[in-house]
Amino acid sequence: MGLVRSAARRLVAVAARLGPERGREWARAMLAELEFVEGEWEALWWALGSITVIARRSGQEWVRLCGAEMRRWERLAMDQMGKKTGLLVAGALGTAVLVMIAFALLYLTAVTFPQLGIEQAEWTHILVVIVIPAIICLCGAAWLWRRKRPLAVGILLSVVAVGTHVVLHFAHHFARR
Amino acid sequence: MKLRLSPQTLLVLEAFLEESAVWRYGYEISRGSGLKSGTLYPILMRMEERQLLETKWESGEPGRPARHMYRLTPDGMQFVRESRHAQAAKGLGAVALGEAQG
Repeated sequence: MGLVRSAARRLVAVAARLGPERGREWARAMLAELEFVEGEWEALWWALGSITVIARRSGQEWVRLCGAEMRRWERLAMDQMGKKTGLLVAGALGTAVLVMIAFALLYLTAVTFPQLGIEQAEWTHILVVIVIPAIICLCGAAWLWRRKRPLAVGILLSVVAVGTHVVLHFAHHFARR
Repeated sequence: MKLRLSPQTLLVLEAFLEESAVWRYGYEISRGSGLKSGTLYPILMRMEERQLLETKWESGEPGRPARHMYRLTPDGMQFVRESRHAQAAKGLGAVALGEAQG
């Protein structure tokens, strides 16, 4: 075997070894065929063509793998985002449910025991419907902060919303006086 | 998805159509079509991916490597016939257009 053919064969063999797993059979096919190419320089041209094919295939494979990896990350991020949003909404809904339960309990007590005069005591309303649920929520949010932060944020956001509502209510109340 | 019919692809298809049942070597097709390995093999790969081409390894004489061989599948033969008709129709259309313009 001549020097040029030997070098050509070695080049294709290295490229085939470094090339992608997919298409390795084709790299082997080109390498095998090189042995049958007539003429030393023709063998070298054959080898250069083969290397180009392997390199192009490697590039395509790399782009394909990168694309697949990017799609996987995108899907993961979307899943994570969906999960976080769900927890945030759950936290807000939980606070709303707690306030509604407190309100229902207060209403039932007022209806069942009218002699207590709860209907007239505005501070009882604020204490039972706003302050106690807000304290429970704040304690819950503090406990959840390290475990399930989106849930804690949802709770805090709704506590802030309720607090803003109370502030506005009193501002309106005192402005009327 | 079928194959894009570039002039080089048509040359390869023509090479297979001469004796469609015969298994062929890469170098043989290269010599027949005048295409270099860098052009020929991507076409063969695409044909195989689209199941127009079947491949096999043939163990050669002792001391020589096994060779990769190629043959058109029934789908491949159908595709070659259809593409030939399409090319012929295109050719006739071009001639008719030339006559109409002339």
